[in-house]
This record gives sequence, structure tokens and C-alpha cells, in this order.
Amino acid sequence: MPTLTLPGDLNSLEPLTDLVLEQAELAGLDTRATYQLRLAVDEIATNIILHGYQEQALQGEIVVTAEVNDQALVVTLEDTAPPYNPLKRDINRVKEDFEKPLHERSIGGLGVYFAIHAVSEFHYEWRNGRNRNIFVVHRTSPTATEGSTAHSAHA
Amino acid sequence: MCLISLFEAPMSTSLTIALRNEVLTATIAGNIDGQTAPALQAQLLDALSPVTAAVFEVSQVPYMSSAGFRMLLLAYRSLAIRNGRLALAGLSEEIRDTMAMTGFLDFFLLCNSLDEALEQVRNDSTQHAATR
Repeated sequence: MPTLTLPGDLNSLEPLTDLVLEQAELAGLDTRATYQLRLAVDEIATNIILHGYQEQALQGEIVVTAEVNDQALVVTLEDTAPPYNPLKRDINRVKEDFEKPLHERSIGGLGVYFAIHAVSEFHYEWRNGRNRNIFVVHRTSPTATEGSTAHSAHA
Repeated sequence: MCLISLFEAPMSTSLTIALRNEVLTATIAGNIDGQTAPALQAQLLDALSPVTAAVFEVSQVPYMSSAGFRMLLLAYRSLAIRNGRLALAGLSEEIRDTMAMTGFLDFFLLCNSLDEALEQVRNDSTQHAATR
């Protein structure tokens, strides 16, 4: 089970993505599921770094673990920033925006929406003073892309 | 008039800007994410301010996170204020998926090539303004 401890700054996004891509390949995820997992993990990691650490003038690390089992690839991000549960975000408010013209939209929330909807399961835990964001992508079914295919249209 | 500017963002993401016949062409290469988007965004918005038609050539952009969506949103707004048009040329299938998922696609002219995009924004800017 690969574990990577990265400093909480934006330079860590690249090695984090490398690990995710490598594990996705190991788990045999298709191109689309791989892209969506990468997006989900990148969005949450970016939030941890910018809002959890930098905005609070805190220094900290992100511990990444990836585990491939028979059913799924599970990626976990652990950080020591103040508690933040992405699932608390009002996703319906974000989704209402998708119907609006771009000039009426608010600018936040998209990253969290991607994080939650781009993977088969998203879990949040607060444990031992740490945030744990857990991304699960099922290996057997293409569930990871349901969210996008349901809405993908014309064009 | 022709203006070219070049800049390097982290992780070898790059931006090349050209202005031809009042149409701005921005060629972006590399990932657009939380690390690279802020610098790209600042440069693009700056370059967009005098024009009403622009093409972003993104065939060498394999990945775009919400930070890139924010950049596109601001670029769109900057042009929409002046009834301008923005075309995206060479958008990858994966990015197109995420744009469809969030209702972003309808606001941009999507083209396969830069030439096609240039033609589209030129025709379009004479015909009608951004309606949505």
C-alpha cells in the first residue's frame, strides 16, 4: 500500500497526481475513470493546501495512501488543517448554478462538486485531529462516470 | 497588428498570445490546475481586455480542474460584457465531459482546429452577440 507524505504546498499537486495515475493504471481503471479520480483528488488537495493551510497561515502535510483491492481503488488524503467536511457544502446550490448563464454564476463550489461526483464513493472523517478525505473508485463497473454521462449532451 | 507574448507557468505550462485582425489567439499548453491557473488567468484577462473575439487553442491541455473553469468563466464574462465571442479549439474529450457535466459547454464555440475557430469567431462577431 503506497503512502506518500507531501508538504502542504501547491508543488505537491504534481507528485500527488503521479501517484494517483500510477495506482489507477494498476487498478485497471479506464481513461475516463482515471481522469475523474485525478480531478477529485486534485480538487480536494488544492482546497486543503489553499484554504486549510495557506489561508490560515498554517504549515502542514498531506499524507496520501492508495490501496487497490478486488473491488476498488481507494485513495485517502489526511491533513492536519482545521476540520473541513466537503460533504457539508450545499451541492444543490452548486448544481442550481449549472442551469444559469455564466455571468450569473457564483464562482465557488465547483471543485467540491467534482470531488464528490467524479468518484464512485466519497467519504469524510475527522479522526485523531486529522481530516480524512477518502475516494473510492469501483473497479468492475463504470460508476465513476455516471454523473457525467447523465448530463453530457449535444456538442 | 501582431502582438506576441510568452510566459512560463510552473510545471511547464505555457501561454502564447497573438493578436491578428483584432482576434486574440491564446495557445495554452500543459495542465490548468490550482497551481498554474492563477498566472494564466491574469495574463489572459489582461490580453482579453481590448478585444471582442478570442480563440483559446487548448489541444495541448490534457487536464483542467475547477481553477481552470474559474478562468474560463472570467474570460467568458470579460468578453460577454462587450458582446464578444470565445471559441475553444481542440478541447480534449475528458475536459469536454467535465464541462458538459457543469453546463459550461453551451457558452463556448467548440472547434476542432484553430483555423475553424478563427473563422467561427469572425463570422459570429459580425452576426450576433453572446445570448446566454
